[in-house]
Amino acid sequence: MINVHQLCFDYENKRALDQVSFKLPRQSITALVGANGAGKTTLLRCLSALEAPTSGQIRIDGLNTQEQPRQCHQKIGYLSDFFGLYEELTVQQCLHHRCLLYGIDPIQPRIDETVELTGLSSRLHDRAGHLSRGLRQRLAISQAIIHRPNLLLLDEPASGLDPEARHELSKLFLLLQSQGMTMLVSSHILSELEDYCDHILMIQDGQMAGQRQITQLEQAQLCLQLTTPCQRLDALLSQHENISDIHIDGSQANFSFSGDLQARQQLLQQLIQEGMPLYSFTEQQLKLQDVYSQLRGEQS
Amino acid sequence: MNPELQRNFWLEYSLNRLLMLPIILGMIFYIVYLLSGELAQAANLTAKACFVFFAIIWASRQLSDSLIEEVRQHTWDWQRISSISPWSLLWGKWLGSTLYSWYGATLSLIIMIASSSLSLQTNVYELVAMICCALFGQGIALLVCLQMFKRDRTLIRFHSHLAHLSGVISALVLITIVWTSENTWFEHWYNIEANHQTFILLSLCTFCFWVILGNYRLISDDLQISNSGGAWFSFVLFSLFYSSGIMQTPFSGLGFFAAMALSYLMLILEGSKPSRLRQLTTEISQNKWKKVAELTPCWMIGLIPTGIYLVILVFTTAEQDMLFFKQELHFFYIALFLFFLRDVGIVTWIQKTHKSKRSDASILLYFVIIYALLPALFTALSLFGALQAIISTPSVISCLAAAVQLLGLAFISWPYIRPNALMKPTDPTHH
Repeated sequence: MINVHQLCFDYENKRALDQVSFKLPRQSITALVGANGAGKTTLLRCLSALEAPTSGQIRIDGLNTQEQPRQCHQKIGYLSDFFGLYEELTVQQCLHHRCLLYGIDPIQPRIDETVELTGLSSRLHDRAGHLSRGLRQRLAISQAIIHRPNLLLLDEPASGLDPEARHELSKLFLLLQSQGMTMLVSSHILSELEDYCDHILMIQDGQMAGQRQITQLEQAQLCLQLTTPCQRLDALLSQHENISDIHIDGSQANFSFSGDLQARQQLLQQLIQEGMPLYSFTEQQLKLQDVYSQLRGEQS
Repeated sequence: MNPELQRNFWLEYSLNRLLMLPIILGMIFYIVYLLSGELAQAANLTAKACFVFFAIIWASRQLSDSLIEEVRQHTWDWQRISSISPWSLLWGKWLGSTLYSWYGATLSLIIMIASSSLSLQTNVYELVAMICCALFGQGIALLVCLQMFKRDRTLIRFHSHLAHLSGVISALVLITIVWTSENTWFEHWYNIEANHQTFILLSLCTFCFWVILGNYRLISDDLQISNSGGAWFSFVLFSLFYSSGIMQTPFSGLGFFAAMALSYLMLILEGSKPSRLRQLTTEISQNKWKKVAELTPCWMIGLIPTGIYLVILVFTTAEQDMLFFKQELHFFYIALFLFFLRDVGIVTWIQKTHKSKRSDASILLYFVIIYALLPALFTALSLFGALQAIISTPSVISCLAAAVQLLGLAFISWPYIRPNALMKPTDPTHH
């Protein structure tokens, strides 16, 4: 869906993005992480064809953002960290204006569909300036998705939202994903991305620091705990074809496992047959923070 | 319906506001009538004053504010990332944000015509010319706003005031010419015999065309639609041609001064950022000529016709006897051209070494020192040789001094603007 090749972006006295290259699959939700000033917003603005890169190439759904920016704009929904709402217009008018900008016809059914999706049906006649932060956020997302974009780019979408609103936002993103949308969500607060992201993309000082698929890692991390340390455990695990990345610390072993549930059951059976003093065999939920730390570790 | 027009309808129009304006205007006319006792003449003059207020002062304010508001509310990106065409966005925003002021201006024009004692032809001339003046002023306000926004992506109230002032002053100058013009014949433009008012009207229509085209190109640029600079090139050519005709000689210096003034204007408005020049030299080194055309700044594009015109001028002015410059006038033109390039070098260097907010003040300070303080000082000390070395005078010394300064600045600036000059990775600060 997104194909970025050797992207560079210069501000007057500094390089904000330096040789950034990555690909993102269709219908994925990717967390774009990095410290403040790492280049996340600049990257999102380049991807949304709002800024022209100094060099390099970006393709969105096969379209080159520099050669066909207006065609790209039709495929992209972009939500900046400022929501950007016409405060004096009502929700209905904001969305009507947006439909006119995209030449959508008929307008009202599209508005109704969108507010149904974002839960704003009862707020159509409220002024945007009078809405709470959570509802303003929803209105901004409604504006970003009203033209049914293939790609939605979101810059710090959950900042300032209460836990309830964040939970609702997560549900909305998963729903949009199920409808075929690809999303790239920037944030430096990892916990807010954890509920819905399946990929992570990290940039550091304007450069690519790494990219991972989170779901694969989650399935693979297993943890064994023995009542007493056992010398043979390392050799036994190393022989297994589905096991990699073994870390043994006293009576505890962590490793990646690539097999299915039946393979796991066979591994457990084998360990017991071998007489391992096993009292715990658990799957470890790898947090986004862990993946982020791994990527940082690899980078350093 | 045009989205911008629709949005402004929602915001600007209510029955209350529609009724209020004619009532206020009626009261103003009645007060003026009571004070002067001369209904027709008083109404005509007041209607003209009201037109200036509505269509020039207020409308220019609304137009420049409309963009500031978009930036302040962070809604401009919504406009940019949509399917709207630059033309729809331009006329929608232009007409939309000035809709209510045009309502007032239209009422004023109706009263002006109704109370006029002039002939139908003169009334039509005044009507069309005044509307053109208003459109020109509004267009200039929007143009200045868009150009400043293009430069550093931030707009503050100061920019709005500056844009508003530019629009109002340019429109007032033109409308003064319209009101003082007479229905007579003249032979001033390329020795062509023409009716004065017809000439003014045609000129105004042409100015409006250029200001609309300029706004269209700037909006296209902001929507990331590639611009090759052809419009600016054509405009400089037009300015050279139009201004040269006023002096009655085939190649007068006025056209050259007009083109140089435009280049200075664009240098101030656009700046000369080393990052852009670096990107330009990189694209040239890679023979990517389409990209080169897109990246070339307007002040640089304007130098092509101006340079060609300079060559023609130098060979045609050698034997002219103008003011006190006599035969050396061509040195003055050459020096002016070279000093402009020197100023480009200094602006580039300032923009490289100063933070963007401070660079404008530094550039302004530089111009004040070079073109006001130092000349005044050298004149007071009778150091005319030094004076020739810093500003354009009709002498060989000026040309040589400008060339030396230009080469020195090019030598200093080249490491920053040469192709593929390396940039340091980003500082850990938020952009």
